[in-house]
Parts: sequence; structure tokens; C-alpha cells
Amino acid sequence: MIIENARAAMLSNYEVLQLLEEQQENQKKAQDATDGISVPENLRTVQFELTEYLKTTACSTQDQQQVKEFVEAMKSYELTLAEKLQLLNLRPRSAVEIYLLIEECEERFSEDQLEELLQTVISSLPRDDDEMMEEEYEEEQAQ
Amino acid sequence: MFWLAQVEDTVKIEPKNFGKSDNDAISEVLNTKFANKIIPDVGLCICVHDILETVPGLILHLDGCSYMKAKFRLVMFRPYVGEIITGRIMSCSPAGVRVTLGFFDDILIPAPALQPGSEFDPAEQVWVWNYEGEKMYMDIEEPIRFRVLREVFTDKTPTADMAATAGRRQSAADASATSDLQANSAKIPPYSLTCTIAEDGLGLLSWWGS
Repeated sequence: MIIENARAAMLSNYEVLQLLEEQQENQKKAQDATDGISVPENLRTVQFELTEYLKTTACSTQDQQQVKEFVEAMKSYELTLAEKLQLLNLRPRSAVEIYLLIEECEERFSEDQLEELLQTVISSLPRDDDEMMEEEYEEEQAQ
Repeated sequence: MFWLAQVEDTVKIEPKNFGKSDNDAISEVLNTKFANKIIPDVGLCICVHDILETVPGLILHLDGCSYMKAKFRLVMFRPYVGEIITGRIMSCSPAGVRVTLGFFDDILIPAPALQPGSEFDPAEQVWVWNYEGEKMYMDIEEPIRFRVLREVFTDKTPTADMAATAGRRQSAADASATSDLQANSAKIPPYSLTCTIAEDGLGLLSWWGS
């Protein structure tokens, strides 16, 4: 086994959730169609537990459209890839959370800009509680 | 939290699976091999994301299985240092707080990395944060937000010692001498995260009004 690239790309929680749900759907179809098909136990376990976890996070109500909007909106701010992804995955709703996610944000952005950023996040990822976004980026180098 | 790892590996497909499409058969074998397993220095593998390339299989004369080389991408769970994650408190001990994500629970917040002013309440066996006179209990099952400080991969390949003692019956002396080692090796997880909540915004979600 050769690991060619341990960090070929970053995935948002939304994408992982989509992948898992699709997989589980296909498995169900296969099982309904043919008798005696079995899915490896370890795969089942991790699929189930991970889907349970992701449903409790922000990505459970995100959809493609929202993610696209978010990506567009984020272009106007100077944020690193990792920061944008975290904003997407965690969907902060208060200033305290934004300060946590963005490094040195007082130096890089003014208070107004941060407020604006917060509002953009909340509006492009609407949710009774939360919003989702989808992004997949290729990253050239390891962290 | 999640990455794609690009891997190349040789996949053995048994004749009974020759009826399936290449991709299905390969995915199945790879998922059995990798799902929910830790790859050292790469992370916790979730599942196969996609298959990039395959080389037509060779059939060896001894067992009739088809051996195909495949390049594929795996979804890996590996938070980077400094990432913020939300989980739930699993247990508290004087050493610190153990957090779980459901699918991964080797996450420890050691005592020094708790909010300043936290103390362990032995009666309730939970940590308490004394903030401005108020006692905030860190109860089990509470959602908690934390930052990753460090990741530790431990090599769990079996050693010659373990193999030797596993085979023969152990005398009482042997058992007590090696049981510590075995107990330890059972306790150290292959992949664990050390985290902190000693910052504004970190800790129980209820503390910050989420």
C-alpha cells in the first residue's frame, strides 16, 4: 500500500454526509434487490456513527445552493481555505465564535467587517439553527 | 476535519465476485480493508471516496483470484492542529475530560487545558468551572466545543514478545509480569487527540449561549 498523498483535498462535513447518505441508499437498494448481500461490519459501523454525528452539526440542513452562495460570498473576504471551511462546518452565530475561528481577526478585519461576515454566514446558510455549505478544494501542500 | 487521501494498493478479488462490476468489487474489498481503521500518520479512514485508476487484473495460477492495482481516494478523519470541533463529554476523571464524537472517542482534554479555575468535584465525579462565583458543571453528554492541540499516532504492530507469550500457557509469574504490558498496550489508542478548552468561546456550548 502506497500513500501517494495523505492530504490530497479537504472535504466539508456536508460533502461527507452526502457521500455517506448516497452510499447507504445504494446499499439499501442492493439489499432489497438481491438476497444475501452483506456489507462489511466496520463500514456499517462507521457509516452509522458518522451520519449520527454529522446530523447534529451545521451541515445537516445545508444544500448545494447554499454552499455555492456561501463560497461566492466568502470570496470578498481574505480568509484562508481552512478558515472558510471551518466557517462552513461550524456556522458561527456570534462574534465570540468568529473570533475563535479566525486567527488574529482583530488585526485582519475591523469590527464592522466581522459583523458583516457574521451576517453573511448566517444569511447564506439559513437554518432554524444552522446552515450548510458545500465546498471541495484541491490543496497543494500538506498543512 | 475530513481529508481525501490518495492511495495506491493491490486489491485481491475472489472469483465469486467476478460477476460484479470492477468498481463495485474493488470498492467492497477496499472498504472491508480500510473502513473504521486507523492508518498511521494518515488518520481514521471512513470509507472509499472514489476510484481513480485501475490496472487490469492478473490471475495467479495458485488461487485463481484476480489481483488488480488500484489508485483510489479514501475519506480520512484527521483534524488539523488548531481546528475547532464540537463533541460530547463522555467521562470526567482527575486527569481531565474525555470527549466523544460518536465515531471517534479517543479525545482527551487534560486537566491543565481546562478553563482556568476549573476543579474536579470528587463527590459528583465531574469537573466544575468556577467562573465569577458561579459553578458551571461539566456534565456527561453535554455538547462541548474544543480546539485540537496535538495528535498522537502510536505504533500498534504486534511485537515479538506479545506473539511469544500468546502461544504458550502462562505461569502465574509470567502472567503478572506481562499483564501490565498487555493492559497498557490495550489502553493506548493508535490515534488520539489532545485538546484544550482554555479560550473564550470554548467549553460547553451552553456557556456561550449557543
